[in-house]
Amino acid sequence: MSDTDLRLRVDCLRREANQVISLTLTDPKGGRLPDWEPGAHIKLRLPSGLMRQYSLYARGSDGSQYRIAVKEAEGGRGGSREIHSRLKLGDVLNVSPPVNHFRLEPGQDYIFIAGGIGITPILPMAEAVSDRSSWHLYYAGKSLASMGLLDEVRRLPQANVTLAPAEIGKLNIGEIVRQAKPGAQIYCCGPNRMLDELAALCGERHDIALRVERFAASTSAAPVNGGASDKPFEVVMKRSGRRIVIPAGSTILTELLNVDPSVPHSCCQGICGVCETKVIEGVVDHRDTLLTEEERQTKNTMMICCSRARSDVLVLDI
Amino acid sequence: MSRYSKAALQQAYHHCWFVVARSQDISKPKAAVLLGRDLVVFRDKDGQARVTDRYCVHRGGDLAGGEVCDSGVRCPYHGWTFDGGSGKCTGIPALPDASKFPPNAPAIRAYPVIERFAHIWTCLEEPMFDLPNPPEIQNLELDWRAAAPIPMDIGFMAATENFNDMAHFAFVHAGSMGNVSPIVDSMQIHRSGREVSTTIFYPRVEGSEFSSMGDSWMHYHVYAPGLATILYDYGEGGHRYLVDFPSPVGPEKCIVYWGSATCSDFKHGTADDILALETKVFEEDTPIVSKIVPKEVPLDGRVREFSCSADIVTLNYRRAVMDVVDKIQERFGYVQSEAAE
Repeated sequence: MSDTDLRLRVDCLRREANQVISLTLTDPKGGRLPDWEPGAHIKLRLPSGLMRQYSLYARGSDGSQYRIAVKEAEGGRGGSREIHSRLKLGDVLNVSPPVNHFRLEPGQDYIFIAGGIGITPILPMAEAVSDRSSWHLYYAGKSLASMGLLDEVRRLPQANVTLAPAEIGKLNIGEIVRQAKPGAQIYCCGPNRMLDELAALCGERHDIALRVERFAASTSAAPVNGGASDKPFEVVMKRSGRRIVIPAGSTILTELLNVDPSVPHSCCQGICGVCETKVIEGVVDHRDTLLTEEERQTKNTMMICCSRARSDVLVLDI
Repeated sequence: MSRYSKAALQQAYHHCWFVVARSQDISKPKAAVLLGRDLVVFRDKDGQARVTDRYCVHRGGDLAGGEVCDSGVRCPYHGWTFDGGSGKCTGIPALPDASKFPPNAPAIRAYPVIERFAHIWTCLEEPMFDLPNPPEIQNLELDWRAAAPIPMDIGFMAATENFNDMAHFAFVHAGSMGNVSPIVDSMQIHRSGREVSTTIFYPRVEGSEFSSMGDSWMHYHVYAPGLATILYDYGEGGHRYLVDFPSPVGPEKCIVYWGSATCSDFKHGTADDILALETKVFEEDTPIVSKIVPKEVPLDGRVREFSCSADIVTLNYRRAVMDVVDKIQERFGYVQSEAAE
């Protein structure tokens, strides 16, 4: 966890549905919390030490709360188990400020599809557009008794909402996609099965946009290469004076290996540290997961298999 | 010589605490070897554990074959006695009285001792760090068992890595752990200085003895170079604790000392039951781990290994070891010539 982390207290634990509870987190000092947009999530460090991410669904009327809803996952990785069985009112947790990888883009026509606990990022999206755009929310679940946040969903204009508990009938995603107007945006969060089906169906519709969020995003060892948004930069090899350009989509290591196949390396993911290289000049964009923040600031080294440059040129001790 | 060559590492480890015996095994003087040095470990008449050099300065009698006496330990050869705390000679039976002692009274080297986790710890040179008192067990009432030590022909870091490795469960421990998933979930690692910690959730595996107590949160906490711990948290089922501290006999030889403790809130068996269970787990490791090559973690980078994301704890452990060695080299002025690499 980093210095920017918030220390938030569990102020309310509420049973929302079968196996679903909601948590209200507030600053014990009563401060306003960093703002967020629909689709954002926070990362919690649970008392056991496990890290888990959850979408935010409400902020409280004065912006002083984060609310999340958590389904107890059978065969899960222990995070939801811990929240359900062990978290208590008054517990104080480390919480990362909100991050949004599932942003609601401007548009005219929205289709929201939530599967089960996938309602959490979808609900604030529907609320955000409820009085100005053409939209519809489809909320599928096993049964009404297992579907969380129904009170909130029922406060939306009901003409725009379809509840689809499986006990009544399966949501016909194929029909939804076929009837989507050209230019429509579909936002979906739900089980992988639902997302895969939706992705396949939307593959045939080039006039609509699909944005999804999956459950169980991993918290570490994430892919380290940013890809499209990377910029090329130049590396100067101090010992030989040689200069090489590192294009977007490539790495220092890949380009160096063309020049010198004996460059030490191993994991190529920024976890093992074998390719650690001394930096003489330039600003590093660190993307490894091994170096601690302190080491990044004091050691002047980088993992050349994945880290890049913020400056135009890096001078390396090679 | 590389900063992390075998010789450089052995030199640095002289400033670290390691186990040389179990508390229960030293009512008589017991021989030990730490980093190539011959030692003797015994409990003196006051009940204080002592560690000194093993051979008498007179004619090399083996103190491990001697006996504890009022004034320390007595050499079996000519009966010279030595104080376990200072190493000073306290008696030469062949001389009529103490006034006839040589002017510079002979002494053997004595080393500092800490008794913790049911084991005897010592440090050959000035300690760089204190022996850890892990904060997570400060409020737990633990019933300790010291396990039978396991000699292995591998380096102690390799043995420590085995304890912190989760990717071998499905292969090495199918017997005790059952049909456990080979996939190692992503982990959030915390590393600061020489400490590495992480928590994993270990769900009960149907039909397995190891997890018959139920789902657990396993809190790993490692202090480089050689103390690794796991606090098992079974929720309402209580806690138990497992510690592993392989001790370096030489560069590629160690004795795996380890211990197990149950907390007063633990509801699934006695300290002896758990020791027996964990002994089975260690016995599964030994034949596999003792045959790895290279025999020690190649911190000098001379052997190319491949790592994957499941190795993240051990990779961070290695980094923490390097931090330890860097700090020792800096403080005690062990300069490694990079030009000679």
